[in-house]
Amino acid sequence: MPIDWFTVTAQAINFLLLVWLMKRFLYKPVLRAIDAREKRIEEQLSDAKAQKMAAQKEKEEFQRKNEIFDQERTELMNAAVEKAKNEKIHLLEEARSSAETLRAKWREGLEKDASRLEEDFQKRVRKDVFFIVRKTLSDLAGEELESKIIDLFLLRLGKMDEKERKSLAPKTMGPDSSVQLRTAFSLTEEQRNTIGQEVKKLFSLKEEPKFTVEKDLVAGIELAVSGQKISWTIDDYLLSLRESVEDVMKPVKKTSSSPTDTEKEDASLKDPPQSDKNPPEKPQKSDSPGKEEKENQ
Amino acid sequence: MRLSPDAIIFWQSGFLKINATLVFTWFIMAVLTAGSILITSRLSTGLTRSRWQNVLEMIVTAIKQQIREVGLADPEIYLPFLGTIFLFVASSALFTILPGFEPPTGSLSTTAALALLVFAAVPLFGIQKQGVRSYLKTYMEPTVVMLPFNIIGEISRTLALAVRLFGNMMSGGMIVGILLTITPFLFPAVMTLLGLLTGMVQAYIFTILAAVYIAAATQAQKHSRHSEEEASA
Repeated sequence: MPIDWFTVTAQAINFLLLVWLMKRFLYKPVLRAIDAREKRIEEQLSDAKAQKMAAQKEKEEFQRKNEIFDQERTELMNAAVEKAKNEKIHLLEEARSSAETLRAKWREGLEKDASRLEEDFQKRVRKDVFFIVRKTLSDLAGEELESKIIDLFLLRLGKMDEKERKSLAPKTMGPDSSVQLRTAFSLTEEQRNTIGQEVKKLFSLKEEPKFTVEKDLVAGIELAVSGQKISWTIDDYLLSLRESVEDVMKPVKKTSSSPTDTEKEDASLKDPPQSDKNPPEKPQKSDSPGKEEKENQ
Repeated sequence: MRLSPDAIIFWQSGFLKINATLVFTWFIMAVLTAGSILITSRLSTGLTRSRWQNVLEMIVTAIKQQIREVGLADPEIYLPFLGTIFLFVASSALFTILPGFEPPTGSLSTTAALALLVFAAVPLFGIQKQGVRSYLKTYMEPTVVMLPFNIIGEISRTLALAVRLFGNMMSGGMIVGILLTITPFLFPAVMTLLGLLTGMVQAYIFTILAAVYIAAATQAQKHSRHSEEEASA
């Protein structure tokens, strides 16, 4: 097996040359590339790590802030709830008080309405009752009744005590004094004379009193002396009757308002007074015009 | 029968001659260098890289890894020498698939040259690592009596390296040549395939052995220092 020493030397040189070439063109660039990449990856990893840490830090910070925020929110919420509660109570109080005021006003109005209605009703009843009575009496008024009335009037004049007569007399003494006798019916000559004599005697008059007929008097007779008058009419009785009726009605009115307010309200709401809708029949005016005005005096 | 590509002489002028061994060596050198230049001219340092760069990186990192595994702490220092041994031997085995190609490693002159370079490299790396004196001292370990045996061992292992590679590579070509005369079809192709495998194995063995020798030379001092420290302790 021959060994060619020239070839050996040449191959050794060749090999060393190849080593240099490989080192120059293969190992160095490749290793450099690998190192660069590794370095880059390392950098990226450390970057990522740093970012992760930063993110972690931020996350912790965020969580901390979030907790604080939550806490604050809860506190604010509680405060708001408390405030709202107080406000609610306050508003309710206000609403209650205003409702109370309104209710009171309403009740007052209702009461007023009720009392007015009642008054109206009473007035109307009264008016109707008196109208009926008066009409009955005026219908019944006849000669007998008239003579009876005159008798009663004369009796009353006669019964007049001295003091009373004197209080009337001086005024009658004046020069322009006039004595008027008003009757609801026309008197007969005889009746006029009787009454005239009696009056003249009573008040020491020189002249005969003037006689006038006034239908409004309702079966009565009235003596007017200088603005003062002495009379006997059914109206007097009716007036006293009215007073007594009013006296009776007043306690009724008070007792009617005695039930509890709510009951009254309910009742008034459920059954509004019908008086307006169905007013009592008006008295017939044909028989006695101007009577109402008289009654109201 | 031709045993070595040395015998194919293209040009001769006295002592100088250009034979097939040299020509095919140049061919391998040209291919390796051109390939390296071609691929490494467009190296990427990013995360994406070309397939060829990937192949190169795989080869380089694999060699580096093997060197480290043998026990050499700084593979970058030994990578050019050991890596080139592997690449040269492997590519000369690989190119046998090309018709008419004679592997340069099939010449005893080439393997002897490689073995001699290893023979020279071992003490050089040893001295570089530990200094002349401590390196030479390793020849007298454990006693001075062992000096001749150590020297003989050094020479014989170099010879063994050269002959092992030559024998394997030459036999591969030889078997194919013989078989071609007996069974011209199919069987030589199978043997060529087998030759590729043995070629790769030989490249690996040659490189690893060289690495082991260098490692032994560079780490001897560490051992001796260790023993000295232990003795003093």
